[in-house]
Amino acid sequence: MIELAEISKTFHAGKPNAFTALEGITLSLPLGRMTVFAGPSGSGKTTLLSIIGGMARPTTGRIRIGDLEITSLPERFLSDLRRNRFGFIFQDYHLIRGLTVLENVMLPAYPLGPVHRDLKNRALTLLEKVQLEDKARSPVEWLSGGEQQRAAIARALINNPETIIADEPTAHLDTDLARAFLKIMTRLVDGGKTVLIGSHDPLVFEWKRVDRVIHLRDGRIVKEKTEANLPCG
Amino acid sequence: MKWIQRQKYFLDFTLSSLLRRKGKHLSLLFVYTFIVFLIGSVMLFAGAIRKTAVDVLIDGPEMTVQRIIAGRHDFIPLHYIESIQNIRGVRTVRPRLWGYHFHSASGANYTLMAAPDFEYGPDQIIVGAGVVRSWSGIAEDRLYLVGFDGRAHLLKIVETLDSGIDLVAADLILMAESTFRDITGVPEGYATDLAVEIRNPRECATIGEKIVRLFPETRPILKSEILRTYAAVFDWRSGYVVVLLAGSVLAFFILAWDRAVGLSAEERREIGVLRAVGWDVSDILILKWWEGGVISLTAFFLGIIGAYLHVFWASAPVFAHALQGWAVLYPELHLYPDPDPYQIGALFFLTVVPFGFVTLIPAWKAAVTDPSSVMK
Repeated sequence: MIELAEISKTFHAGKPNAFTALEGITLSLPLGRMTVFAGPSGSGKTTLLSIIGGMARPTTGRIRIGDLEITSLPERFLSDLRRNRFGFIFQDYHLIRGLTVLENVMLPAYPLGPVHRDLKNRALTLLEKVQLEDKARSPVEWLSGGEQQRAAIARALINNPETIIADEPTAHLDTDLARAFLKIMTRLVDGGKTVLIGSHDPLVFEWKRVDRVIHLRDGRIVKEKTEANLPCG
Repeated sequence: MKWIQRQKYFLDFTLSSLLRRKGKHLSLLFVYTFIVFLIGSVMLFAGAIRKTAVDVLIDGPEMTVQRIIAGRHDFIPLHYIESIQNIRGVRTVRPRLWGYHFHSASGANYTLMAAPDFEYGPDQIIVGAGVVRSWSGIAEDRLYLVGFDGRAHLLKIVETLDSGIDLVAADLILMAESTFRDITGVPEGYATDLAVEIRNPRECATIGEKIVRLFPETRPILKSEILRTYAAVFDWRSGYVVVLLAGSVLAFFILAWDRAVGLSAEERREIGVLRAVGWDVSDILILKWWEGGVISLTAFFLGIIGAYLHVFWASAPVFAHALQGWAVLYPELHLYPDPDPYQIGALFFLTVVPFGFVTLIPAWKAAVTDPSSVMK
């Protein structure tokens, strides 16, 4: 379970340009489900996902992941957390240009120092799962938008995290590619992963396998829709 | 094993990162290498020229005694020899006849010297390699010198000294004692100075004091003082050249500083992505340390190797004139390597180490910021 209590985030606090992105967010997110944070641009989806994933710290409030209170964890523990428990899929994919697809996928595992052959095999297996094995040695900038996103999915999975965080994953995709993405996410949930998606795309939050949709506006939760089969939340 | 594998991954990523921004890194590498080359050349040249001076002077007399009258160097009477010879610890005392001769046609100032036991005739001479180079009018190995009384002396060159001792002998003309006195007008019974050999070199100073007590108008000059003077002269000259190079060094540090204060947007984003996917701050710093290390070590070794080839293979054409100091008779030097590890070490610590640190500062600043902010 991921629990958020009274989370708020203010950028440039104490300055004339101070801006509150999140205010009083309290949530419990069960593991093994697909949750979508929906809302227009500027509603706080990205900030909330960043805080859940340990990429940013809240200004106030607390976050627990399982038994671990991460709000005040030192930076190096947050790095461990991001590396081992979360896999990120960014809106612009944020693949590193000039590296091959395979190198990009292996990148999150470098600090762990695995045996190169094992790591490569793992990365190739993931690329096969996202149907990108034939592009493994291509520079990422040669890939189409959909292919880049699949490479980003493989990268997110390389350390076998329990939670996948995807921010506006369908923003640059056409309907077919967006559906293909959602099918991959569904397979991951079926395999026991937790998927958290931030999106303003109706195709995403109306996807039949989404367990829960949390609507955000101006940094607050305004509406919540839970599928009947979801036991709690 | 894991540690080694991690470093291999980091190094691999570093090399690909350098290649991805090769324009920037190549320009930095070029400037860096050039600076190390310039400073390294000056250092190696000054060290080698000092060694050449020491090698040439090492066989010279332990002490030279001059006579000073009214603060000026004057001829020394030969009867002083017997008194100095009687001082305990003195092995031999030899009179030396030498002087300068300005040759207006070539614009060069030669050193004339009467060689003891000169084996050639009174109209024959031995010359330094620089003399031959300076005087394009030498025909049939004959040299014209005008004596102190206006008479012309036609002298035949029978031998040219090895250019390996050019540093001290480029301008030298060796001749018989009688020829020397004819040309310079040094009277019989006098010498230019006395060369004193001493049994125990550690007693030089004591013997020098005894000579001054016997002949208060004399000035003993020790070989160690001459060597020190050479060292000081070449150190001063190399220091002067380094000061002249300060502009380039400054430009390098401005470039390095520019690198220190600003990462490109792409580099910042890349750090943000690496942090977001789970790299720790220390991982980023190791990566940047490798990056700085690859550039600075490559530049340092290329610069030092370039300087070595410039000085010892090409005889330092860029600095030779400035550092040697001769006006017309530039010695043709064959320098022999005598690199000073302390100086090379100092150059290493003054270039490689600071560069390593300045590359870490901006990376550290980006790495400690929230990845979500850095990636924007």
